[in-house]
Amino acid sequence: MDAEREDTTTAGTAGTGTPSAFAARPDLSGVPAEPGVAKPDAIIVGDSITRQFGGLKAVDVDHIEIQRGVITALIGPNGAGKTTLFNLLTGFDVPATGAWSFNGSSLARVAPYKVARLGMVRTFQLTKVLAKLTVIENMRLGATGQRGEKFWLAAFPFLWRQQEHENTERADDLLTRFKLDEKREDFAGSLSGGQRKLLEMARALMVDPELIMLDEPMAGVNPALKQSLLGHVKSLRDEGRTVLFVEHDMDMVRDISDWVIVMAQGKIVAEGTPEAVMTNPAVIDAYLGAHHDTDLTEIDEKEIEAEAMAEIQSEIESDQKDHR
Amino acid sequence: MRLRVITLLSVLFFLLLLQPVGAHADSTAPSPSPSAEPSPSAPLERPDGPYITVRLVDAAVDEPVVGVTLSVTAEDGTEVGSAETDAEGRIIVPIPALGSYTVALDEATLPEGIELNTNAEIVITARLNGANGGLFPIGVQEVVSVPFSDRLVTSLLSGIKFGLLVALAALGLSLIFGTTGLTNFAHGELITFGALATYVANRGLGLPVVLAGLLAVVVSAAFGWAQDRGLWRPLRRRGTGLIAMMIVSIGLSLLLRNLYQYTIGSSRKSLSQYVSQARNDYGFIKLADKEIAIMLVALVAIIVVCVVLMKTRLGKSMRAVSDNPALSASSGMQVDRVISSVWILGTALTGLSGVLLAVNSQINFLMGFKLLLLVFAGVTLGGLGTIWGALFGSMVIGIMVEVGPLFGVPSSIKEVGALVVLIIVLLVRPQGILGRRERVG
Amino acid sequence: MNATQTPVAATAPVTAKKTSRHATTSIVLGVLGLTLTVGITSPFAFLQANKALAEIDAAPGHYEGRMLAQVGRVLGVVGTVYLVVWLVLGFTVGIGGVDMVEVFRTALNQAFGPNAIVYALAAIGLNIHFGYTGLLNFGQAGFMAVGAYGLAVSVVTWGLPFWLGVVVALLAPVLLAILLGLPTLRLRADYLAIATIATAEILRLVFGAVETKDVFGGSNGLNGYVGPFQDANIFRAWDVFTTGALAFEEVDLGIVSFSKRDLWSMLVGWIVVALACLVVWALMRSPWGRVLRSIREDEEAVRSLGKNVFAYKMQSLILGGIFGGMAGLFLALKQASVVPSDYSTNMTFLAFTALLIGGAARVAGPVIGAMILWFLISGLGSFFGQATSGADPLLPSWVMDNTQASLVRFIITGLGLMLLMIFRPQGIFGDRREIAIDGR
Ligand SMILES: Nc1ncnc2c1ncn2[C@@H]1O[C@H](COP(=O)(O)OP(=O)(O)OP(=O)(O)O)[C@@H](O)[C@H]1O
Ligand SMILES: [Mg+2]
Repeated sequence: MDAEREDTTTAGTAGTGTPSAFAARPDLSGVPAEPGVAKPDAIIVGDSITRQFGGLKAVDVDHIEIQRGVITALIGPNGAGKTTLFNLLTGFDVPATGAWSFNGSSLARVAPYKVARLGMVRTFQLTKVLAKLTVIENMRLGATGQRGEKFWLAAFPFLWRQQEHENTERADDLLTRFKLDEKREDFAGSLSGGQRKLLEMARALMVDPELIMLDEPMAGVNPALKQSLLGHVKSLRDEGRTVLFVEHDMDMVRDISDWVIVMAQGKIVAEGTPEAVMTNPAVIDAYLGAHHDTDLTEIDEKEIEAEAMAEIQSEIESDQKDHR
Repeated sequence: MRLRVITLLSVLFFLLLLQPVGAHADSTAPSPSPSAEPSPSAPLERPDGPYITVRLVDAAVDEPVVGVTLSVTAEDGTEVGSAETDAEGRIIVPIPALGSYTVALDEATLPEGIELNTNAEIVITARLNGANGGLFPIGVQEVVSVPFSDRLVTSLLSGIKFGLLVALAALGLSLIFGTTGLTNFAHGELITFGALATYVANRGLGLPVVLAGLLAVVVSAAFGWAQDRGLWRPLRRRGTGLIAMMIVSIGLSLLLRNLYQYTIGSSRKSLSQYVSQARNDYGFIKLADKEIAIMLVALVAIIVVCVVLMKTRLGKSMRAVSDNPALSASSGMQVDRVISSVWILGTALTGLSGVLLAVNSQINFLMGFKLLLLVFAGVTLGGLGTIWGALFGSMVIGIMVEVGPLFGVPSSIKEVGALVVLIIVLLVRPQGILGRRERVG
Repeated sequence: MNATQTPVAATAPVTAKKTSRHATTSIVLGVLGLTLTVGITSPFAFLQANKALAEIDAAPGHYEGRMLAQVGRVLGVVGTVYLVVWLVLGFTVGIGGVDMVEVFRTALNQAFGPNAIVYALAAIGLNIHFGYTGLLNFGQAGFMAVGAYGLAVSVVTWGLPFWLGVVVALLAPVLLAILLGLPTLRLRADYLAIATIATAEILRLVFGAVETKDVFGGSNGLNGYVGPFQDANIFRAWDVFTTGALAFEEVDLGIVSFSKRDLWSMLVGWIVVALACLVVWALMRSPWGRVLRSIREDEEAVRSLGKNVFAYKMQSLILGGIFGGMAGLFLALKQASVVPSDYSTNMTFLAFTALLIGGAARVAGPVIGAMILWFLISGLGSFFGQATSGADPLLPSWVMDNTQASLVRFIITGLGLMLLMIFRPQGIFGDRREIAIDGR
């Protein structure tokens, strides 16, 4: 096993990513590809974080470190505990055990809003746009340190108008970047699923975070836009931000991530550069499947379909029997 | 934060702070109050027509008992009036016509340390056109000191009985909430509906109470089905939000409650049978036959429903729908049918609770509405939407209400104890005792 | 097999063809015209229907709902005719002993009278809670009760001066909001609703209990604290100034008339309402108001952006609670007595009705809603009251007697609230643009 891992690591370091990104990328080549490995400059360090739902151990992470200034991908099968780990790290959920820190300060039992103010902002897998606010208002909400958000200053517009104006300019820039400028005055509730993902990402950037955590940012975004979004994510890194994202699209993971962490059944089962991880047999078994390069065969599809149909049919029949 | 709000308000309200200059007499002009609670009272001067008078005497020391509420009910179950005994232990209640009347004593209003040694009710036949009854001692006996354990047992028993009644209604509420997400503020009116249906079947159609009760449960179920078909299902189809539906239910509650009062008036009514029953002494505990029957019926109903929910396909599909309606629909389940069954089952249970309440005491258009908050408290205490939580929470509430006075809750407002417990529990465990936290993200 | 349609599937807002909003509005107004509003909304139904038809004909590919609009138009015409007949008959000869002028007078009187002010203030508070922040406070009656009792207890029981009583009355809701908010603001919306309703009931029961009679006056409540308020009555002072004597006669203002006592209450009350609206307007257009509205939409999202949601909710609860307390305070002042049974859950529900009639999350919504609510309630009350009394009542007593007549208005209010929520959840003056995304 050990020999294999070393092999893949060395193979992986050659020729990944675009040249521009390569230049700004801190060097992770020296880091061994093993679960829970220490990073040279970690922004997040977590220890023995566990979370149980009834009998199910949704998250059971011994040690995790996220490198500063790079793009880290978190992958794993459905139900692996990725979203739950996001929730735990950002304070939206409370773990049974564990300690973790951001930039060296402990985050245990810190409220979500404080986590966000520290510079660690997350988006949600199921988007949470503010439906009855316009797109631009959604964006304005993201800005931090607004004077007008204080109760005692709110009634006096001259105290906050200037700041509001600056925030709006920044928001408009971001909207243009995310191709949402045409929707500026529309209610966010009228946006499509993909547009909501974009809005949520743009809104998170309004907070000006040091670490941005994206939960499946590309799900439902069309291929052309996806390409340009990849560019945006990379430019975030070039601006010096750290990105941690969950994604099921392996092409995207391969394309932009500097480091990949693989979770399965709550545990970190593998880590490494994208190439290393994707050739790791444990990962292929647990997540990618033997045919992850090829399409599913016709036969498979039909089999699955037939099975599903049979199941639905039996449900309906017995249901009808019940009601007679 | 508090201080700052005050500054704001002192700016806002300088108008109200005009200097007071002496005082002058006020003539009160009461506003039309929307709450229409009956406030029965009777004058103590002797009326012209026939009236019933009762004198309450403590047999042990031969002294009048003061401040006890007695109510007079006509043969057809309509309440004629009620009054508190005066300094001489006397009440005077005018009656519309000669005939036979039942005088009932509200045991909760008896002074501390005094217990009734006979029936809480007597029948008086009015023959004279003036006073009827005269000095009529309802046997009252001073109890030297009831041991605390005895009082506890008595309160516990009535707490369990009350808890079971609340649990029936809470189960209904919880089932409907669990499958449709509807917080139904008209649920109290479903309880009243069961009681009213019993009353109509019993007094109107002349059925014996047991049959009337059965009929009432069936009619309640039909009412639930019709409500779902005619109101809630169309709303679900339109995609009406849960909060909007909650407000619709508030409107429905207002509508139904006033309709009930429109039809039966605001007085209390009683059924034709089992109105007054003496308590049998079973050594340690004292229970009337009807109380035993009520508890048994409630218990059996709850067990049957739980078995249905746990074991049958219907129960399974109910739980599936409550978990995820969209998924259940796409996997071929007939969501609307399941919800219909839930409404039928839920309202039948709730109606049954009304029936049992009617048998237990009396019928009034407000009875369900008054109980609603306790039902909600029971469901919330256990954790919204969980069946076991609803049962457990209701029992806690029922027992808290009845046992509370032993531990210092003023007995005239004994519901307060249970509600305070509710708020404390929510403080410690926001999701209720058996509830689960919701998923984020 | 349409049983497989799910409740969830119906929320997708964007479809190729959409029903013309004017058509929907016209049918709602038309139905309301023939039921609740005795024809008052019917002309508007007619106008809306015409707009809808024009809109549909202009872009037939865009809209559907021709049928609806046509039905709305017919309803509108019928209702308008009905209204005209009503008015003409009513104002000239009266209908079966019902004096329509009197009905209209009573209704108008109450629409501007002190009762409307009480509900307007309570609904302004609820608007901050529910309309802007999404907090389901079903315990507004509790805030009103502590406001009213704050004044009465300080003056009557403790013997404090009047102005200090007013201060207590405004502080009490703040305290209640904090006590109530600490445990409940972390809860889900429906838990909050039940916790608040329970608190309000606890307060009402405790205020009315025999055991606390020495402080709160039991079920008869308290009175005798209102002197200084009426001493400051400028109408009365004017009287003394001009004639040298006190006169409490009615002041006739054309169709409506008020006593001087009520006029004074109304002057103070409407100024307070106007100031309250100003405060709400100023706050809700600010970034602070934006945070509240965002919390209403999705509090997790707001949290993830670094806002202290709990603090904002608490501020909202306190501010709305203060307006609730003012409503109670005003009720105590205009009525000159505080009675526990006034502060029942029913009161909260009626305040909600007022809010929803006018439209939640609109500055003027609660005020207009309260006026309409009282116009309808008292107009209906007067109409049915007259129709069932007298020697030869319009409605025979086997249909409806006088006691039953007093219930009809609440039956209709309940029905109206249901119809309103179903067909026009944004209220009469709500924002049309928001309907499309009303997924909730
Ligand atoms: N609130 C909850 N209550 C009960 N179980 C939960 C809860 N939240 C998550 N789980 C369970 O924990 C496990 C991990 O869930 P999680 O959402 O973290 O998976 P994931 O890795 O994000 O999956 P996906 O790729 O599908 O988004 C799942 O089995 C899920 O059912
Ligand atoms: Mg996930």
